[in-house]
Amino acid sequence: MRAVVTVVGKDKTGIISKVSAFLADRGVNILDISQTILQDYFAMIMIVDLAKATVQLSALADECLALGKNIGMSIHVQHEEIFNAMHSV
Amino acid sequence: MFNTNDVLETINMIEREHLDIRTVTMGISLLPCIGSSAEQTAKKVYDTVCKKAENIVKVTSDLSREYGIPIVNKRVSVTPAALICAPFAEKSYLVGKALDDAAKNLGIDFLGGYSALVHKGMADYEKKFISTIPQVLAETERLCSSVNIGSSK
Repeated sequence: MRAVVTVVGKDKTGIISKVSAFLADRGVNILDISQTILQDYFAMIMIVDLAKATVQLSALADECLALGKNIGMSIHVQHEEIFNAMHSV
Repeated sequence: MFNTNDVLETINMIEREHLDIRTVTMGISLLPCIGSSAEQTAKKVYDTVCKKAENIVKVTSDLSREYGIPIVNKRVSVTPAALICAPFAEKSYLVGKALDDAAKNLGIDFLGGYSALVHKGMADYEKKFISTIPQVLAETERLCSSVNIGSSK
């Protein structure tokens, strides 16, 4: 099952390493990353695979929200189906 | 695979513009509940609704968490009660209370169906049923009522 992880917030050191380590610890495999820095703001979108994850999507979403609060970023995890439904006919 | 703009637009829709699922509704037939008395029918109605919809709150909550989209209302919709109460229309309020009690027990937000369909004419039992509506709505919390009085067909 695939999900979309988005990380948005003010740029600082260590964002990518913290988020990827967090996901790796939970058996989440990162399939694709797109990232951009616009002035002071950092935005990253990751497509991840939860096939071997040790947590359910809803728990992962809660944990990522908490991680985001810790490091001062906004982190959302959503089922890829939502994006398919919104943007594909 | 995904367009960056599309992804950010979708996140925005949910987080900033508060896109949500307004209601999830489960339809339940009350025809098997018609009994030989108002009391018996009311009991069967209560038991049937509670049994059929016992998981609605949990399932909608799980779905909401899994997809990350809020689901605002949980609702049950039933066979128009006037039909179920036809043999004892003056005591229809017992079924109305049973439906409301079931809604409270399940923890849902609305239960629709304390209704009559009279767009093709009104029978005696329907008149009696309709006259119970004000009292039933005044004494219940989550029950919704309607009377269909017209049709384009």
